[in-house]
Amino acid sequence: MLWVDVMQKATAQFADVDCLYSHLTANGSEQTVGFWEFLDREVGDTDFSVHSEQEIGELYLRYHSQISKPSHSALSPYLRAVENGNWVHPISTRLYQIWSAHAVALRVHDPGAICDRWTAMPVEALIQRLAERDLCLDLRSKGGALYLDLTAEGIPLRQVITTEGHSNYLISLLRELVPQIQSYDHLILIHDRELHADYLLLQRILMRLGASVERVSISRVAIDGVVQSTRHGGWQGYTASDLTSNLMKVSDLPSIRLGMRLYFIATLGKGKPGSFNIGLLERAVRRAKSLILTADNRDSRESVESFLHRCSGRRKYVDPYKVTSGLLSKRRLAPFPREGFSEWYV
Amino acid sequence: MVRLGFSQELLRLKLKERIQASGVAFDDLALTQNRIADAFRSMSLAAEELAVVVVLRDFIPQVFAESCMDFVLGLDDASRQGWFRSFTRTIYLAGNPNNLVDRFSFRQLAKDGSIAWSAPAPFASSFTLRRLLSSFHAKIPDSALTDFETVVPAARLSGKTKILYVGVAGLTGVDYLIHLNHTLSEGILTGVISPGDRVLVRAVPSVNGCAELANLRVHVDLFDGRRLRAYAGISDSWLAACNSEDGSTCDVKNSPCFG
Repeated sequence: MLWVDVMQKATAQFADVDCLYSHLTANGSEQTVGFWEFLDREVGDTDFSVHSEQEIGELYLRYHSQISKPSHSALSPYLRAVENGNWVHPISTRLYQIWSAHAVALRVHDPGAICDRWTAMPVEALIQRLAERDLCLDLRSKGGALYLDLTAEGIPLRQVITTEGHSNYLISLLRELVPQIQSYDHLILIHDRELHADYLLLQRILMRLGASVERVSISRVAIDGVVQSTRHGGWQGYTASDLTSNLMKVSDLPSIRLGMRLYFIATLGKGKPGSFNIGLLERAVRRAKSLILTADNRDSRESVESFLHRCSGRRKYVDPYKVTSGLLSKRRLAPFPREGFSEWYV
Repeated sequence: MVRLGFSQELLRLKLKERIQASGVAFDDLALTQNRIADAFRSMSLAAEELAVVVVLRDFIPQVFAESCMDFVLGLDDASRQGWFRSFTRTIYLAGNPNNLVDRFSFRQLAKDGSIAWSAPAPFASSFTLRRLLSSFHAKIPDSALTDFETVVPAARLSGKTKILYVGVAGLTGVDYLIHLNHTLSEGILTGVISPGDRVLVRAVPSVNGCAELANLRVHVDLFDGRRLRAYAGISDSWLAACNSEDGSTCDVKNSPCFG
């Protein structure tokens, strides 16, 4: 989120930028609606509005430790609600509330509230659009599946609607992105490195439909040398709440905001980062504090505009890594976001 | 010709004949003792075993049958013999030939472009295509459940009509394609059906007892792996008699398996 936030704020200095956080994709996935169905079945009516991040995480682990998966018919009321956009499970409402509080504390764009909700096109309209350009293989009427088809470019077929009619997240993303192609000069897809193959496919399809698209892949941060999904645990003690409350004992909020960016964006980088290291995070926060304190004496000859242009190179967006490492550079002093925050960085 | 009513003994004999026609060594005793899986496993397939890859964008049985016959008739003698020895092995993949013709060479394309056939070649040579595409999965379409007629491509009709029966009980769409393809292509390769013949394709629950069938397609019974089952075959005996007068086909409703 820090990465996306810096990219959006910095790029917005010279372009109109909108950010799509896909609610359809986040809530319509099998693991989210499956979790909701599990809660209603196993936990029942409960006041989730007092649950902590930790408690929600533990319930999520319990859901994934189940051996059997819920049936499609059990999930269908939840999928319909996501499709209608008029209901989310109270546990997700609670989780968005917690995340919004983190977003406010860290001065990050709140994905739940600020990012735009784009209207999704109907599935069949999307499929027709794809079929016109031989970009999908539709065997549903024959009892088969639907695949995205970029085999003409040497990319393997990717099943996106099963024989039972379940569509996956790529369909959700296309339903939201395809109608936007005409409205934007440029689309940037930011994704987990693990999803490289899917996002490459998504990029190529959007390009075939006329969009100009770039991809930025970001690695997940390893904890004790292991990168794994939330469902496997191992995150206990490393949530945003845990990190912020621990740092508050040794520093102030503006330094934490800047320090988090320095650590997660510049120190860890977007490539293959090392394991999360609390000592290095604390050092970044200390560094942030000293940068803020000495900001007034900083003699940068460069304008913000020129600095950000330098950090975008020939790309259509500002590279958060270049901006952040630029702020740390002693060789060439960059303009500094006053008191730790400004329009273009924090 | 095979008599009406197929005993397991008869099916074993037919399977044995087919394996022997390929010249492949196998465990005859296992087959005799109904250890069918062992018998299939024992077949020492030659390294030069050939396979055909068929890529399907759609599943229209009549288009498939016509495309299959065009493909077989277009093969040279060496390919025909090699493929027959390899039990006309075929791999069915879901894919759009339009998107593949620039990168892969196919021997034959269906007239509507929905099906592409690669020439018989060692299995390993199709690796790239198999990695790019997915296995074909479908149900048997309704259009397969009513009789449809095709003609083995030729300059003119032979005046003969054959019936190709497929026993569809318990079959998936791919199973249906497998049995139709083997029976049609081996029918042409062995001369049971010839250019200019009309071929009526008829789906029945079970081919057992339907008619005297040539090119009987025998494989493990889906419902019980210790048994063999006849899945398809070609009949011409009663129709040949009907055709003898005026060269036209007779009323198929007289067939014992009508419906």
